[in-house]
Amino acid sequence: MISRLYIDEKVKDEPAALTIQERLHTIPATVVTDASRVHEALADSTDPVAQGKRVLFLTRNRGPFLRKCPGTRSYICCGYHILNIGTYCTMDCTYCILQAYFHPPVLQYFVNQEQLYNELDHLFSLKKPPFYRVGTGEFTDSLIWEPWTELSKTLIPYFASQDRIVLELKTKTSAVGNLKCITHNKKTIVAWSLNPPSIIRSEEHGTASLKARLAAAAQCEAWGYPLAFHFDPLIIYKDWENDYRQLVRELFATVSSKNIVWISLGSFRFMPSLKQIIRKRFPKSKIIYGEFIPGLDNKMRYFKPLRIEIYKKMVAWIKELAPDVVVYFCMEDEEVWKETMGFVPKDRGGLPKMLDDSAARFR
Amino acid sequence: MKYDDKLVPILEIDTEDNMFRLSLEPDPNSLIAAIQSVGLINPPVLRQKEDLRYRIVCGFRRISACRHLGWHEIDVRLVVGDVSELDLFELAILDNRSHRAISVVEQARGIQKLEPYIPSENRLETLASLLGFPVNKKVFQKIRALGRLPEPVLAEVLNNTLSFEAAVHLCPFSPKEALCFLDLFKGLKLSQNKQIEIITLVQEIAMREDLWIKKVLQSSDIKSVLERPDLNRNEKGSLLRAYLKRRRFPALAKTQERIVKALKALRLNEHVHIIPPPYFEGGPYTLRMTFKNQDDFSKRLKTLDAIAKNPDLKKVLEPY
Repeated sequence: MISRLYIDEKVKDEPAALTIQERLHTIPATVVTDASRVHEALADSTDPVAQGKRVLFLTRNRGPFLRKCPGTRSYICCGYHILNIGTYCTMDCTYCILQAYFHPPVLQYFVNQEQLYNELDHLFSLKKPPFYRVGTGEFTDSLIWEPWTELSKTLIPYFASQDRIVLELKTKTSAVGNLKCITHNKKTIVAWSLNPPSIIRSEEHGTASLKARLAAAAQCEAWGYPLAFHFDPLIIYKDWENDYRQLVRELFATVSSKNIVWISLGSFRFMPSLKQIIRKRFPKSKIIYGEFIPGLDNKMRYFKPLRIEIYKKMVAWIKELAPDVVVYFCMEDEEVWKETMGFVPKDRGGLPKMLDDSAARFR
Repeated sequence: MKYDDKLVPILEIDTEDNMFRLSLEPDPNSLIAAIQSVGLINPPVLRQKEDLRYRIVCGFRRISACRHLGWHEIDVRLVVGDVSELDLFELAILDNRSHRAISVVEQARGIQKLEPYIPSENRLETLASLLGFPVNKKVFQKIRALGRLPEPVLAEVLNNTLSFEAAVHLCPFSPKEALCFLDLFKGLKLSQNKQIEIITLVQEIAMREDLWIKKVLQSSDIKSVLERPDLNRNEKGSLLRAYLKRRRFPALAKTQERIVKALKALRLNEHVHIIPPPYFEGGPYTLRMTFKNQDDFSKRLKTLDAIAKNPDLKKVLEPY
């Protein structure tokens, strides 16, 4: 729950800022001239990472709203584009990279939305590349903002007005109420990160249960939205085989594979600095004690044979129930692709093309 | 501050009252001979308590030495009048610092005792100036954390059996667990980094395997390393670290062992080395070859040719 609102003086009269202030009128609000004032308030807290989840800073995006997902040269990237609507998250997943990524981490929502829509207009007007995948769920959860912003009510119809670019809303919530009765033209994909209930309970604090996520997915399917799922992060623990197999079964028992644009698999990986944060904030969590080695991108990853083992099984379980669904790996190398899928993306025109083609099927 | 110089019976001094003590249990031996020879030059400072006994402010070692010498009475300086506890703490610290540098353990205990008296706004600066450590939040937090460790562990920090940084790594553990680590380190000769490595490995193994730290440290494999009479302390340390790494990273260790075997089967010599990529994550293998002249160079090429034809090369290049 938001306990404090800060508003950047430069944006205090932006329509989005006024709407949010009105919706959060019971929460103490302060207009600040400088972000450092917000950062100072957080720095005094005993757990600034947790405190940053309760403080909402309405400000402007000083950089571009649209940017290419950074990826790395060492692993195969899907060529995603990020629509940077805000940063950080109200939920508190043990493994969340955002805890270490922002200094300090604070909920920021960018209200200079005229610029956002200008950038989208420019993107929509481009003729190349033929297809584009854009998502809001990289630096935040796509749907946590809905109660205060109702952003999806504007964003989804905006993407529906063209035919070349898809928007992916990635979430661990079940906050899909605002998606009802909106013209989406199948240009918005609603996506969920999934993990077994035991991992949700122990590591994904404050998120929707698996049941609630799948029910929300079924609801969106009924409203005609294409769906996507991300088994990311996959976590290796004692009962992972049983739990993930059951999870795959539950997924396909709830939604039809025909309506799934893609499923991604990504094993748990983290910046080394996150380890200390997890150790301090979640001392009972065991997820950092797997067999991690430094990857080629300097992130810690499971030792490759362990990754290959879990991927092979996940791919087999998915393909058993949904042979035609597009499954891909987030940031893995050719060896992993070859060992687990039997091909490498460049044999099929590259990973971006594989995903673009899959998205283009939903018209 | 006002003082009364007084002769007080030693029995009236409450030597169990450690309120102003910063150092560990004092060792009076070094002072006994000096006091025996020239007497007590610098009288201890005391403060009378409500029960009329005396609390030591400065001079724990001096009083202990005098007791060992069988003295019944001792010249002291008695603090009189309205003096705050904080002022007495400052006096105790400055008295120590006037004739020697105070240790990190004393700094830790000083922080622990003085913190409640000092407002949070300028706590770091005040304590740093009083106790003589740099005005740095991280340093402060590390020294402060030491205060949680049991005395035997702190004593070994002063003896250099345990490094300061390793001791800081022990702070999150319970006193019993910290003592288990201490027992281990006493039997080994390890650098600071190796001590920290062992603490980390043991803690992570305990978390992975759902075991108490003590259970890991008392495992039969570790005991058998520590009890080997044919090894010196360095060798035991190396074997112990290797064992802990194997236990912490079992899949990686198995792959490494397989690679070592496969490399042996290639019969490389001291002039030709094949180095796999770090952690077998990807990236190129490295071939290192040394030679002195053209003849040497030709010989190495023949070796390389033989390696290329050896079916065991595949085992090196495809480690899993």
